[in-house]
Amino acid sequence: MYPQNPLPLPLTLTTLPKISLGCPILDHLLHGGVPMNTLTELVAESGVGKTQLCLQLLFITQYPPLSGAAVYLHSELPFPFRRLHQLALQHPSLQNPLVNVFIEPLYDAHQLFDKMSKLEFMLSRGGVVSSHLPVKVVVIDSIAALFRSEYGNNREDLMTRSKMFFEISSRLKAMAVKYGVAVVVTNQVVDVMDSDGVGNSECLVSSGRRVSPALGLSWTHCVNVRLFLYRQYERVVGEGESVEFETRRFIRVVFAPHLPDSSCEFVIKREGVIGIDQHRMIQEKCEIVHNAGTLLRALKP
Amino acid sequence: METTSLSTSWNQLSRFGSQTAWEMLEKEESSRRITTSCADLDKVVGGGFRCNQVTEVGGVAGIGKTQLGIQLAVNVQIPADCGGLEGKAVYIDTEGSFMLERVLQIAQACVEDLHSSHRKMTPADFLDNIFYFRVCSYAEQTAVINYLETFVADHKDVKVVIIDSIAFHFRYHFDDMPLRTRLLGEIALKLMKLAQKFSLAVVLTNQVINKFADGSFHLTLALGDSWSHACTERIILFWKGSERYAYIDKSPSVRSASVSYCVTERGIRNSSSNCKLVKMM
Repeated sequence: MYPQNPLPLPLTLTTLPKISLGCPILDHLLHGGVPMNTLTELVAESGVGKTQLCLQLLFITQYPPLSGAAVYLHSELPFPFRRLHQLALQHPSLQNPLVNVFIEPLYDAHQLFDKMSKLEFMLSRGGVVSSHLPVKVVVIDSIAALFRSEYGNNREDLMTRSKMFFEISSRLKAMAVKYGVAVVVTNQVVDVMDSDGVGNSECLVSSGRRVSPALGLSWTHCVNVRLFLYRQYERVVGEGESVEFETRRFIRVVFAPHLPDSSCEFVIKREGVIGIDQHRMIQEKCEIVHNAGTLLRALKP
Repeated sequence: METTSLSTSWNQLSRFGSQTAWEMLEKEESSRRITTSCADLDKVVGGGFRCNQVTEVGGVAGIGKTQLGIQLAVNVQIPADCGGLEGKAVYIDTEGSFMLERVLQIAQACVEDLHSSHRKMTPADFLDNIFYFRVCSYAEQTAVINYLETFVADHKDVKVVIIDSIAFHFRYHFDDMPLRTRLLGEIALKLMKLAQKFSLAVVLTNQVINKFADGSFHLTLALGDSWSHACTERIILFWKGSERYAYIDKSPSVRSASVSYCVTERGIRNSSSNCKLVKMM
């Protein structure tokens, strides 16, 4: 037994392995992307874009330098094949990107344990078939759906459930470290009734609901990075009956060992999930005004 | 000179290797401390994390346990001429939260804060002096802890052992709770012995659980009641509004107190708010 040298050489921040999100603004928020060797959680209420972000990862992973395949375990049926196909068309430089995405359904938590054993075997072999790329990202969408129905709210069930969380997390993390894989799980939210929740800094708010990530306190200790995707409705025009709302989506780092609490706005387009840099937008507007000013001055005799 | 050393050893022998309370006090006063880089926190824990003892740090996810662990692994290396221990660190990572880029960032800030004129340490030097173990099961964790004594005997300059977290792998796999308690008890003894024998600081992080007692749920540290005797000092990190606080829950030497602190880009620092009052209880 000997300690690992934590320092990979040569020492540059770019060598720290991350999977890009395929958008410089989102990558900037996450200091390069989703970290490998750890467990990242995306929390959001339905329809904010956690699946969209996951689907995007499946393709970005296939680009060099990573050149990896992706495993996607989904428990929220049906699987969005059409969207996956649509996104695949956005990556013409990849040769048949859908070949390197492995999709499997999950129906309950016990099945996840079976799947994890299979996955370990698959990773140890370096890929599904030797000609395929090595698996570099494993997505579980979503972990919450597996636990929502089967377990009650009594003490025994909660304890069994919590033990399962720790076991799942520990096996996923072990896999992540051993094979240099990024593990991404998504989680749902539950509404918060009392004000103090579980002692976190503040309540998370999405679409005006006060929410907290599902699965409780013990699951919180099972993830390394927690990202929260949320939605805000903003009134654009009109009053009374003719009010029109604009949906704005944001992604926030709730906790991560290497990131400060920060957030950024994003939009979902046909091409995928794209971050919006508020600061730069304002700056660009200023520049346009400024340029227009100089232009006018130049034109004036 | 020789006669005195002979007589001391004779003295020791006749006392069956025991120490007097006076000697212990002297030892305790001379025992070195590792600064947390947060002056307020240092103040309430009595000048920093102390060598010769096991300190437990508990709190919810995202409160800064790992940040404190990384900070200590860096700060233990502050050169002696800057008032540091000039030691090395053993970091046992059970959760996978030890992020290299964060360590570099904190080390960089530490280098900038040092005004050592003799030699210039680079952030890479700091990383070189952290012995990192990644453990993925409770069996591995127990094995590494058993091996620590041999390892530290070979690396006498190790002055802090950080286990982040002690709890994670002990929160599944155990249907036999008495077995878990016994294993943890053994670990606690081993760490205590390690701390005493090599006069180093052992810092453990722990998770929190919701415990049902007296008709309501409240937060308490994981691993059960018997574990709470395992550590000499216990510090609980918690949120109050949007501010982070550290609370001395158990300590043989300092008063129970709470103080706010901050996790900044540069590491653990004083809280930036205006009311930097240390509340004594």
